[in-house]
Amino acid sequence: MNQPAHPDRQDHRRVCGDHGLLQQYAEGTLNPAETRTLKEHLAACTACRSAVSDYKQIMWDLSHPPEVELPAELEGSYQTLMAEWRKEQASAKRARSRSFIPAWASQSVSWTRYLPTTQVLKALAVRVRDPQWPGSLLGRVLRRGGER
Amino acid sequence: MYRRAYSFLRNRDDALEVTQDVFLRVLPAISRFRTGSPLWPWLRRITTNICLNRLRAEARRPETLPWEHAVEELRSPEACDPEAAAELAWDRDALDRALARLPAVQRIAVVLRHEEELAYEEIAEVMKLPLGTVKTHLFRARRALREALRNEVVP
Repeated sequence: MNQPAHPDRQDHRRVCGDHGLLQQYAEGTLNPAETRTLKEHLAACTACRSAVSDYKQIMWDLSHPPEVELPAELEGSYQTLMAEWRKEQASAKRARSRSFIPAWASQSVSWTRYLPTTQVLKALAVRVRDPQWPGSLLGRVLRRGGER
Repeated sequence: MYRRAYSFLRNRDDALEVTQDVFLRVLPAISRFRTGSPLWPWLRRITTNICLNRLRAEARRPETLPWEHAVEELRSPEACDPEAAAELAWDRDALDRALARLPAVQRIAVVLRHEEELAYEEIAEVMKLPLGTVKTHLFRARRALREALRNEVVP
């Protein structure tokens, strides 16, 4: 009767030759638990170690592409684009410096809509305490309270 | 832009045409571009889109491989075969040749991941593909590159 394989051996069989895992390990995106299992396997498996080494080298090479020579035909187009870009940047900067409203105030208008309300309330508060003001019911009540 | 297009297409004339297309698209729109934002992500997106559209159009021609199904069949894993563990040493030209032979969709995914260092999610967004598909393309591309380099180096 066949004995079931030791759990560690099962893990090794599962990860051996799994190029998805090997690539993730080489890329550094494998989760810690699988990294532990794979590291144990790599210590014993030359082929997987070699694959990881190849993938790391491929990824490094891909991230350091050789400098491709620019065709001469592009020079004119590039100069035109950069000239337009600089012109736009300069005109946007001039528009900003001409404005009296600071950038934060022009962008955030949420508090400004409460401004008239605050001013009206302030004016009312002054008026109701003025004895000469014919006033509203609120004014009369406040004055009567003061007389007592 | 030219270098990015060249990385995607691996052809000087095609990359030049794409770069001119990007200029034509960018110049009239540059005044609408938000000041202070970095220019390169915007240019990169346009360059990538033009290359993708171009490759999709080419894939619709009958003589070329279909776009979504242009995936190479790969050999079975060598598992723990000690002979397969021979050290690989390749030069840059060999890698460039292997890259040029990849299906375009895989090559673009690889360039965006390893040259541009975009996250998988960003690649999915740029290429308008599901995340799982991007992961599959990257896996197959890297595996195909290794196989190609192994074939080239080991006689």
